[in-house]
Amino acid sequence: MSARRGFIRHGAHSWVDYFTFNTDHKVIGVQYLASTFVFFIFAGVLALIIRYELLDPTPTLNPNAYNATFTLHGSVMIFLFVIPVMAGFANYLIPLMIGADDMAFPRLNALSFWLLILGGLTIVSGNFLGQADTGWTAYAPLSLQAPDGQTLWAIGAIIIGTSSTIGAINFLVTIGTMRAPGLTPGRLPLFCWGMIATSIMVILATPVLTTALALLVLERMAGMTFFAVTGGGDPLSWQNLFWFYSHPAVYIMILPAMGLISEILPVFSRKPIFGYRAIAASSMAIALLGFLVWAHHMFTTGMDPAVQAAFMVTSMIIAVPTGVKIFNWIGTMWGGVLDLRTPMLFAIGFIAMFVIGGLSGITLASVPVDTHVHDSYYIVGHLHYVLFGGSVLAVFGAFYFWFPKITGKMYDERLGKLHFWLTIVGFNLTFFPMHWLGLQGMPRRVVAYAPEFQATNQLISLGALFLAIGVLPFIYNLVVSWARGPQASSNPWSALTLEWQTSSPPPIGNFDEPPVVTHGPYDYGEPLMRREAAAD
Amino acid sequence: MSDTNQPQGIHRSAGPGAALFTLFVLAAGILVGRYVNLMPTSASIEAAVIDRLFSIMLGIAFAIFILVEGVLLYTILRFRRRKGHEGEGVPIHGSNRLELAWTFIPALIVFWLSAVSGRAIFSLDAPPEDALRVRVVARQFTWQFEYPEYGVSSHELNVPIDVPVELELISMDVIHSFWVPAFRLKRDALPMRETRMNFTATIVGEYPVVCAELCGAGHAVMRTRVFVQEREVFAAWLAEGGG
Repeated sequence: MSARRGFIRHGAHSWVDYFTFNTDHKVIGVQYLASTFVFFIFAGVLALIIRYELLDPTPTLNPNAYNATFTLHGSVMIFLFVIPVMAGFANYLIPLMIGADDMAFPRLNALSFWLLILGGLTIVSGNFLGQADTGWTAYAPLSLQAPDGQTLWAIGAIIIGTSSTIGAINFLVTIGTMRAPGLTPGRLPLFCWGMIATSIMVILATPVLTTALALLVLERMAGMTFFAVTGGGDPLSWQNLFWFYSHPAVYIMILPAMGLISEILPVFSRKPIFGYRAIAASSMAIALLGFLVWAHHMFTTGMDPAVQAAFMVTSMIIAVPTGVKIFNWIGTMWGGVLDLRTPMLFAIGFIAMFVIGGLSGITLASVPVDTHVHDSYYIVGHLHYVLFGGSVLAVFGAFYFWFPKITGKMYDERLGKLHFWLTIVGFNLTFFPMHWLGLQGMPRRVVAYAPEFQATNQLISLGALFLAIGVLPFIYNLVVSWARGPQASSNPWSALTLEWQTSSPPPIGNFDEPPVVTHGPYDYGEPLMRREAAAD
Repeated sequence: MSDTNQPQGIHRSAGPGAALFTLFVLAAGILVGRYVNLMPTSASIEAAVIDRLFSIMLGIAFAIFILVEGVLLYTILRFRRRKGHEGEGVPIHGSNRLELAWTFIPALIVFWLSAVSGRAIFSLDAPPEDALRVRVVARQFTWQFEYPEYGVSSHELNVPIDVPVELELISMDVIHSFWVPAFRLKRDALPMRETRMNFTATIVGEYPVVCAELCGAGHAVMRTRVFVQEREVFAAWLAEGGG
């Protein structure tokens, strides 16, 4: 593994190695985390442009430019930040968590990272040809009218989907075949279970999106007809194919986040995770049910009421395994000795905010309620409670939690807490009032709106500013702490999973001696820790 | 994971405090469901049905919100690490009884909500007898309303009060979505494929109509109004040839 052949490198010997086709999973993990974070900032700036436009009810930007802005905001946040940042954590953590020296296919791993960058640049380069302006959902036949950037958008998304599929295969094979002796399925860290469920969904769902995108490209470029009614196509085929991927994609974005939360909570509660099997099983249940709900995005297309009812029931049922996770996390904290450091604050913030997104989700599953609020700001509020209040808070928590492991340095706790509180206040100020706007009748994706909604929109824009300012201490903290923070020990949180049983940062190959696992990943609590102490 | 012998301390306060909190949660849910109205004017029979359903869900959601956030907050306050405390938590791995409870109770709630919502779906879908038919033609970026039985056409929707109306929607280009927030109803207008939407307006007035599906540069301004009129006023409007 350590031999360098041609342009292929393995391991980080100097900073240059992070800019190469490197096959070390830790380098690739950092590459993923850093570049997806750049995409996050980029898409965040686009969000600020959106909030600037909505300060007053009349259009300021050219409407097409506005449409392109939110299209790029959604596409970049989903395809280039939330989905791949999870692949970044998975890359860095899975081999360490299972006691392996690397991923099963290191060169495929590097390929999946560089494909992500290629796909991202392809989407963004649409700017030079007229950016896609049809939303991240690219509904046909509107997406057939869109400028040439729409074609690049589709090709970029195909490349990213390929990257994502390669990564998923790698995760499954790695977890399936490279676990350390003694690491039985029942001792697997819950983040790994989350990534198993996620990877299965990626492998099954992505080909359907790729098909839809390929058909779109062929229709736009080769004169074929799949979606345009004038040539005998059906625009609803696009929606069915698109949502058959894109609803599972919601769980592809949240299941890894739930895994991250399940790692952080027991460590800072000093207690075993509550209901290990229930949490792992609920991930698998969500992965299965996630394939049976896609048409709830299409309730207003005039579908048969019996079909509506069927998709409503499956959508409602998903609340059950999701609730199981929430209750088990609170059960984990109950009776613990809670250490409210930054990663724990973000984990608790995740629970508190995700509950709101889950509850608004139940109202959306109800067809008659959805008939009113579908495609309104209520949806925008709901989806951000799930994706930002859920996935992004988990990502922030994970950045702090594994920062000492990845960099070998400690971050600044006060700046971390400042980041947390600014984020929570800004987040709720931004996204909570959106529910009201939607109920009152403000549609989403509009450059202009009725004057009575102005005050609420200004409040939301103020919240967005808070949210943006909140990211500054995070960036400062990461950069300065990495450069000259205090040295971190190998296991600053006294955690039991394997990644903490090697140096910070871990050596190339991860473990000096191959680890052997003799207990579960979360066996915290007094008797065991006393036993450990006695053994020392 | 099997049940572990749970130390007594964990259940220490499950008594009057918990009972009081449960009462508070129930009361909060009922009060919010009954008295909090987040919706705009309700101007159709369908709006009343949907608002009732939404109120039920809002009440339940608020009760669950208070319950979960309340327990979470209490957990943080009660079990946070005090200064100088270096101990560990209690080694409980789970409880099958609790797992069953928090699987089946939410399942019952969502099945019940599905049943209530399901009844509403079919009642709202029932095609009305003797409805006034209006053809809605959507184009980038205008709405046109045709009254085929009267040879009348207009860019604003006019309907009589208390008369069932059946809209037949069609689009001439991309997908649009016809939304009347005051009626709580929305239906996509698809190219070359007719969709339907029924309503009966209940309050005379003027209400916004907006396009809810992104349809291009003019999407945000693809707005018009619906006028709910007394029957005589509506008849006079028809007789004058609309407009």
